[in-house]
Parts: sequence; C-alpha cells; structure tokens
Amino acid sequence: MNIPGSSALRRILILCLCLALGVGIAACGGGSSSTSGGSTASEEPAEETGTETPPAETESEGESESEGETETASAEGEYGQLEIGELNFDMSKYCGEKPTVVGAIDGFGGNTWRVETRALVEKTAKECPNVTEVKYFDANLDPEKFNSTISAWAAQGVNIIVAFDDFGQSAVPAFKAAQLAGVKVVTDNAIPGNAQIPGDVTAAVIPDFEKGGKEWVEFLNEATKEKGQIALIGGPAGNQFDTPSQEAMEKAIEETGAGVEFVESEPVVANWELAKTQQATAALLNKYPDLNGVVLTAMFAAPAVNRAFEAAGKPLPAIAGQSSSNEVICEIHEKQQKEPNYNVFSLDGSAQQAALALAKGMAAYQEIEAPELGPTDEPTKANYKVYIDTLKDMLPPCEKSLPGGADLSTALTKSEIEEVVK
Amino acid sequence: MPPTERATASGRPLLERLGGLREASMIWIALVVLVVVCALFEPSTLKGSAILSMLPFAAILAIAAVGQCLVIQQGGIDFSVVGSITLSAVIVCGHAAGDGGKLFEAILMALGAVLIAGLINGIAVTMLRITPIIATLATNALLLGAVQTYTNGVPQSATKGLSEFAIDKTLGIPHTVYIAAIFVAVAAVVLAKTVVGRRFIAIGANPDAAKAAGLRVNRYLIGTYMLAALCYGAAGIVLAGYVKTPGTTVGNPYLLSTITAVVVGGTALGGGRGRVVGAAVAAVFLSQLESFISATGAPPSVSLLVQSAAIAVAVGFSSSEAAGSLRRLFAGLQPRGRTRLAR
Repeated sequence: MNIPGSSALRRILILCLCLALGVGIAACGGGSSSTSGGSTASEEPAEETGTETPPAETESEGESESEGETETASAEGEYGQLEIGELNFDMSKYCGEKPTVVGAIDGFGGNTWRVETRALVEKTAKECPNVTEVKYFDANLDPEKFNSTISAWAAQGVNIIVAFDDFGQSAVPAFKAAQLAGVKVVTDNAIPGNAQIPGDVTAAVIPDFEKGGKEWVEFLNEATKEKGQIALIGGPAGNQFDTPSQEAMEKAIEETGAGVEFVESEPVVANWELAKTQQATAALLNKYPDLNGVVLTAMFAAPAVNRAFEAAGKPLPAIAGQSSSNEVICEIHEKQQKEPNYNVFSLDGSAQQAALALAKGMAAYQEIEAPELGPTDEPTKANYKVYIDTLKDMLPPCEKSLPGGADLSTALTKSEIEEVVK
Repeated sequence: MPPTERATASGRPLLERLGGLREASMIWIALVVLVVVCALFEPSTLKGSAILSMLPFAAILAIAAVGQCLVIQQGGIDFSVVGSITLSAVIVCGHAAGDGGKLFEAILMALGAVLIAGLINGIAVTMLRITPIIATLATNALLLGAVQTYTNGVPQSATKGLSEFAIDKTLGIPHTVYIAAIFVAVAAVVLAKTVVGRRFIAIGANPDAAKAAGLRVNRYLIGTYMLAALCYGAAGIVLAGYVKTPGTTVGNPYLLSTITAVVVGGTALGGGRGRVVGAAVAAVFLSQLESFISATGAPPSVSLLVQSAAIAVAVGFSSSEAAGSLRRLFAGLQPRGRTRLAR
C-alpha cells in the first residue's frame, strides 16, 4: 500500500500517536504504583510471557455479592480464628543500628496477593527506623529483568534483597553475585533452584510440604469418609509446588493408611488458571466419575473446580489446598447453603513468609544471632496455619468491601488491606 | 485453482476433488474425524457434561477468532488480541466494580478502549506503513501496560449479572454459544451478502486492484482492525463474566489459538480468502481436541505441538506449492488414463 506522504510526515504521525497513547494510558490508570513512607518503587509494565506463575496467584473468582455471606469482620485484625493476621516474631529485635536499604522483588507482581505481600514487607521494614529506603520491582515474568535488577541493586548499595523467585535456578547466579557483593539475599515462598544456604542465598523460606501434605490427607480422609478418590490440580508442568505436595501426600497416605487414593500418579497441569482448572477438572470427571476430592496448590481456583462438578451434575468435592482468597471464602458460604456437606480446608498465611525472610535478612546483615527465626544452613520451613476447615466450622467471614482476590490471612489489618487494594 | 490444472467436468482426479474439499469442508471433515477418534478412544469426552464444559471456551475463542479472521483475510495479522481481551475484561470488571447499574457503561468503556487500540493498529498499518506483525505487537505491549496501570495488580470481579449471564444456559445451551453464533452469523452474512462485504473481500484479495477500482482501501483496512478489536473486546467481556475475576494474564491463551482457528478454518494466511464460519468450527475443533488430549493424560506440551502441527497442515493444504506437490504426487499414484488435467 503506497500512500503519498513524506517520511517526515510519517515520523510526526508516529510521534503524535505515541504521545496520545501515553496520555491515554496515564489518564485511564485506575491505580498507580504505591510506596510506603520514604520508600521508592520502580515498576515497569512489560509484555507478559507464558512463563510460570506462583501458586499464590490471586486471580480468584467468586462473588463478592454472593448470597448467604456472613457479616463482615468489624474490627481490624479479626481475620481467622488463629490470629493469623499477626506476625509471630518481633521485628524490632533484628533492626540493629546500621542504616539499611531493602529491595523487594517479584518475578510477577500482578495480582492481589503480591500487592498485599509487598505492603507487608514495607510495613515490616518500617518497624526499623534505620531502614532508610524500601525499593520494589516487578519483573513481570521476565527473568532477565529480574536478574538485571538484582545486579543493579547490588551495585546501587541495597543491603537486603527479599525475592520471590518465580524462575527457579535461572535466578541463582544473580543471587550469588549479589551475595558476593555483600548483599543479603533472602527468598520466600518459592524454592530458589539449587541455591546453597548460606552462600548463594542467605536464607530461603519455603512451605513445609510434609506438614501441609499430612494435614490435607487427614482432612480429605475425614471429608470423604475414608473413600477418597482425589487429584491434585495445580500450576504449570514442573513447577516447584505441585510435585513436592503430591509426594508429601502420598507419603502421608502410606504412613497413616488413610483411605485416600490419587487417581493420577502425577499432578494435573492447569497453569493456576481458572479456565484451565475447570477444563482439567471436567476431563478428570469424565475419566474418573468417582472423583470426590481435589487438592489445589492455589485455592483461588476452587470455584472453577466447583463449576466443573456442577456441570457434571455431581456433588461438590472436598477441597484441600493453600492460599485462599476472599472470593473463595464467599463461595464456600454460598455453596454450603445449598450443599451442607461441601467441605474445604485451606492452609494460609503465606504472605508472612516474606516478612520472615526480611527478618532473617535483617538479622544476618546486622549480625544479630536469631536462632528463633529458623536455621541458617538450610531452608526455613514456614508453618502455614489452618485458616479454613469447614469440618471444624472454621470459616472466616466474606468481606464484601474487599476485592475477591484479597488474602485475608495476611498480617495486615483490614484498613491496611483496603488501602493497598483500592 | 489454477486454470492449467482445471479438470474436465467428468472424472475429476482425486487431488482436485481434495482441493475442492480443502476450500470449505476440510475443517468439517476434521471435526467429524476428531469426534470419531474421541468416540473410539476417549468416549467420555463426548458426554453431555464434557461438551457443556468445552462449549463456553470454544465460543469465546470463536468470537475472538472472527476478529482475527477479518484481519488475516486482509493479509494482516493481529497480535494485539491478547492485550485487547485482557484490557476489556479488566475494564468491564473494574469500572462496574460490582455495581450492576454501571455494567452497561462499563461495557461501553471496555469496547471503546479496544476500539481505540484497533484504530491505532489500522493507522499504523495503513498510513504509517508499519508491518502488521510489528504494529500489533507494539500495540499489544501498550495494551498490557495499560492493563497493569489500570488494575495496579488488583483485578476486580465481574458484576453478578454479567457473571450469571455468562454462566447460564437457555434451552440447555450456554449463553456464550449464542453470542458467538451472533458474531459469526453477522460477519458471514455481511461478507457474503452485502456490497461492503464484497468490497472487503476484493480488497483482501488484491488491494492494488481494489485501489485502482476506486475503493478506499485504507478506510476498509482501518475499519477491519477496529472490527477485529470489537470482537476481541466482546470476547474479553464474555470471558470476564465466565471466569468472574479475570487476572492480568487472562488473554494470554488467545494469541496462538485464534491464529490456529483462523488458519485451520480455511482462511489463507496471505489474505484474500476468508472463512468466518470455518474459524468458528475450528474453534470447536481445537477446544474438543484439547479435551481429548487432556483425557488421554498426555502432557500439556502435546496440546501446543498439536496446535502447531494443525497450523502446518492447514498452511500446507492452502499453499499452492504444497498443494501442487501433493497433486503431482497423487497424479503419479493414479492410473494414467484417469489423470485428465487440461492444459
């Protein structure tokens, strides 16, 4: 297509388009990057790739307007029956005196759980007056950006880096280089590849798969009356959560003799996506009509599981998992009105791992002995708490005023959650 | 079909008949073959509940594929489908913010936003003469940036009304299927039965000739990208209702799958020939294929491999060189007396 017009005209048009688009995007922005007092935040929107996302995704579904929801919690910090909204350590003990710059980095920060976790890290860091700055970066699923930011921070004088390593082993060389430059790198939630501790990283806080697996088996055994035909539906193939979880559960089944059996020997891949989870559940139901229990390493997908069971005309399954959300809670309230035998179990408080990682990093940087925070020569296994157990009538209230993806088990108050998710 | 290989009316050779089939019917045959394979090896995937689980996703894919089909028919390709679907999904949820009274306004806003993206694509491709793949890729990056800015990482939920509408069925058929049927029918009828549609096809087949004939080619091309964006926006809105809380990556699966649906549906990648109905049937084919692959327990990578293979096969069938090679091969396999290609 040849049109008349000089190259100069084209350049002007391109410039105008870019300007118009930039102004448009800025104008339509419903939110903006936030910083905690005195801290800086740097976020770069970038193109998304299809790489792995963590199970703490909170692209949850459910209905904030669901019927049958209970009254909302009235007082701040009233989440759950286990006082899960509080940290189980005193950060001020590890502040020391050296001025400290903290960097928090996510492999992917585009969901409510990550937003809340970032806020928790900033809140925890604020407890130390000698923390002069908290930087933040969202690599938006780009491993190169993730690594280059860590290297840049090391050069810029960041003292502690709290990282959610979405990329496994590929981030370890950057961690190692930063450590050699004197930075204390601590990771939370995800296993940082084959990183040596201490050495490649100062500390790694990871879920306690064995404890979690055992608790899931106990729940499913009871909920299915020792006749459990179960499947673990999780994230992308080869992620760091699903296989260890299923292995831990199989071990627990063997040790306890529970009447629960996996219908598939491997975790079912569903990319931690709602649509994929529903399709995977439907496929499982077609293949195994007796399926009556589901394990989710990202509980936000529970409504997708329910929908597949409803479409198949089957009673809702017992669901065990971790990292629930407000919408999951709302949906349980709603579904239990129609199916009182619908049971769900969830281990939560995963956001606290980031705060614990920061405390460990701070103690190491300030050279303060802190054995109470866990080992320094191996991964620290975080103790997830039971947040939902409908068999024991443990079910937090549905929070109408908060987004469906909100993690109510975090160590933030309700007003703090409202502030960060508005 | 080239005139040099035109057969006489009687006794058309096998390959020529195959060529005729590939024009319109290959995807239907492929769908029938898939159903037979499913019935033989994984009959559970043909149960009513399995079909009802598959159909909504096929319908959403079909809506988006209609848009992609229009663009490919004009010799372009649209990589902004991911950003457009995601942006419309998050806007329809974010603007309404659970208030059913604002739903209509939110839908208009979502569609308006993606229409602007379509306009940018159209201007970039026509007036700035940027290659479609580059222009739409850049627009996609901008759209994803807008998604991040708009949501600030906190996606909102769809209103109860939108969600219930997307999930519910009428006469046992999911509403998403009706919406897809409307999009496909309107596009097919407009293309086949109206002056605008015929001009559109003429421009796709040969833009230079169309321009020489006095058609306003640029205007049609810009309109094509805007109509495509409208389809993506509609798909995003329906998807938002169906998944209730669309995340910032909700549109990711629709890049390869829309292109696959269009190509497998019989539209030539080089433009000209468009098969909107074929693209919709291909959306059903691909969704059922995915159900079948899941049921067999094959790893998810197989699904991608099969999609890629489907594109390769479809392009192979639509490529004149490849088809010519096949014809020669088949001609060699047939008895000499029956090969009656006229010169």
